[in-house]
Amino acid sequence: MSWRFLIARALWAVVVLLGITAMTFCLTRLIPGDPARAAAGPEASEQAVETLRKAMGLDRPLATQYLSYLRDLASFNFGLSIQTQRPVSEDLDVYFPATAELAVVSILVYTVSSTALGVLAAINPGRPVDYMIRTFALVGVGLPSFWLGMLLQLAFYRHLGWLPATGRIDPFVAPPARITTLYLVDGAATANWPAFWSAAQHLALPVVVTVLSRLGVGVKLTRTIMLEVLGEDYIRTARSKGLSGLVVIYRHGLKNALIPIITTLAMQFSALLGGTVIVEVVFAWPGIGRYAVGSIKTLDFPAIMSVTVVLAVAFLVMSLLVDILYLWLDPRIKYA
Amino acid sequence: MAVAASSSARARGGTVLRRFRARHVPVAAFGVAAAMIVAIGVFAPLLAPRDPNALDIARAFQPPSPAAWFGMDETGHDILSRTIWGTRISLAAAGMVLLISMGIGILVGAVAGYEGGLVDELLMRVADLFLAFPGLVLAIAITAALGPSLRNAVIAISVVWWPTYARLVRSRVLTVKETLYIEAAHALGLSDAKILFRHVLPQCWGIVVSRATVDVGYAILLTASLSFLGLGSQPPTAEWGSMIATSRPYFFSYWWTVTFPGLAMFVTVLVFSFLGDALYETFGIKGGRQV
Repeated sequence: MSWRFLIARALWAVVVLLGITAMTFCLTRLIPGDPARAAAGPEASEQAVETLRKAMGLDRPLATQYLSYLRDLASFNFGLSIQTQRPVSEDLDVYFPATAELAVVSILVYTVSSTALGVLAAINPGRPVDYMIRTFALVGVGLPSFWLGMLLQLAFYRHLGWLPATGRIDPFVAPPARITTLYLVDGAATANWPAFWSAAQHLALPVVVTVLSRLGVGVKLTRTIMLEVLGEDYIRTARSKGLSGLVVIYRHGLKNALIPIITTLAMQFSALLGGTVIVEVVFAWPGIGRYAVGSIKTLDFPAIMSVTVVLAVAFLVMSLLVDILYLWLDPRIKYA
Repeated sequence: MAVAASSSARARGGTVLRRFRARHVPVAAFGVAAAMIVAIGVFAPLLAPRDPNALDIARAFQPPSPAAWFGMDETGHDILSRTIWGTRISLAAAGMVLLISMGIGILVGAVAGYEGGLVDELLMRVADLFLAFPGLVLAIAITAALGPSLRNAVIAISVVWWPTYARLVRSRVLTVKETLYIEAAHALGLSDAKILFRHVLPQCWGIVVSRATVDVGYAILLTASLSFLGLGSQPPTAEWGSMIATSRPYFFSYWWTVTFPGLAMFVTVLVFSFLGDALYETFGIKGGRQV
């Protein structure tokens, strides 16, 4: 029955997609008052605004407008950016890879570190290690990420000089040849080690800030789930069979704990994705979050709403992937 | 029956007090700390040594000193005074966010959980839709559309947040409505509205209050983040996020301009999240088991 589960999930994703686009559509068309006036600028004559309104199709019924908006989105036509006067899709093409790289690396680091720390805390309950990990995690969640980012820049760039403060790669290092658009992967694939090293250095602080701001939530979840699993009878059986501690923890404990841990990951990714917006602004990371925030000042709605849709869709795709992973990890669902 | 009810309430109050004394010194400690932060916000006009918006260009970028504990910013604002006023603004904004999102969330969650069926399905799917966006991103889009201001930031965050409360309350209502005393209330012929508001919802307070306490901190963080991006409160208002944003170009040379407002935010968030956790352990889970 695994297919039924997947199909249901995919159908729900389509519904969510319609909902997301309906919401961004409403935000662009209904709230700012008059998009034609906004696009034409405050100096434009009444007649020019009227012409633009016709050209933008704003005189048609809302339902028709929504359908044409959907059609545009489906063909990656996000409209013209008001500030750059280029199609938003071209801008996104420039800025999206940076966000993707930051998000992917952050998610990997987050998943590994929150699982490792959560398990470490769970196998030492009540001991100093447990308290240290939990305090560290809680403190991280309370840190305003933009403030933490600035303090790290102050320490590691201004005072120690170990890491760069802003950007994605050193301006004097040529980016690696474009294969996947992820500098780390492309740098390694083409054995362009200077580019790889520079990209890694530039990633370090942004990733730390993105991960730290959510780490506490993940550690807490992993610890709770792992403690629950370690309390099960089969763990006691495994131990009494004389299996070594590590084998029990990994094979019998972690493997069973992974399923509930993974179900919570999708929500965590959402928060991480949202967090990258702030991090991009602080570290002048050339991604779509920074692009969207920059667009707000010029009231560039096509740009802002496209980024919103793109990030929501990215999150949707990731939740679907998590569902598939979940299905693959938990054979019970197939027979349910 | 009334007598029995009041005596049981008294007994429960007694239990809470005893548990409190025995095991929950942290609740008291964090409670006092949180109360102090709230007091700083309330009495900001009395506590701040200077007018938070008084300019003194001659003293711009003065480092921390006995005369100005937190130093001066780029226009000669006294950072201590602004940090104190910032407490007031951040707490008020967070309070509004919680009031609005709890109001919507509790209503939707209660109706969905109590009615069940199609109504439940519909309301919860709408809630899921809001949760399908990364929260901050949706908040940014909404504030951008409404126009940058603290009021609009509060509205945007509330729009993003109500679904979590709706889910929380719904799951609680689902358990409570299966209990015997609710069945008894039905048998007595009480109206649905009366049962829901007088007998079901009061059972949800424990879990909602402890969650809301943790959320005070996150509401502060989110509002400050929006202000930092230029979407929330606008300069020269003494708000933590916008203080950090306006001093950002200078902080490599003048660290105190961003350090102190951030520190105030950090401490506030920590105190409320520790308090919320402690409250949850004392009242939340207990309240869950009682039914």
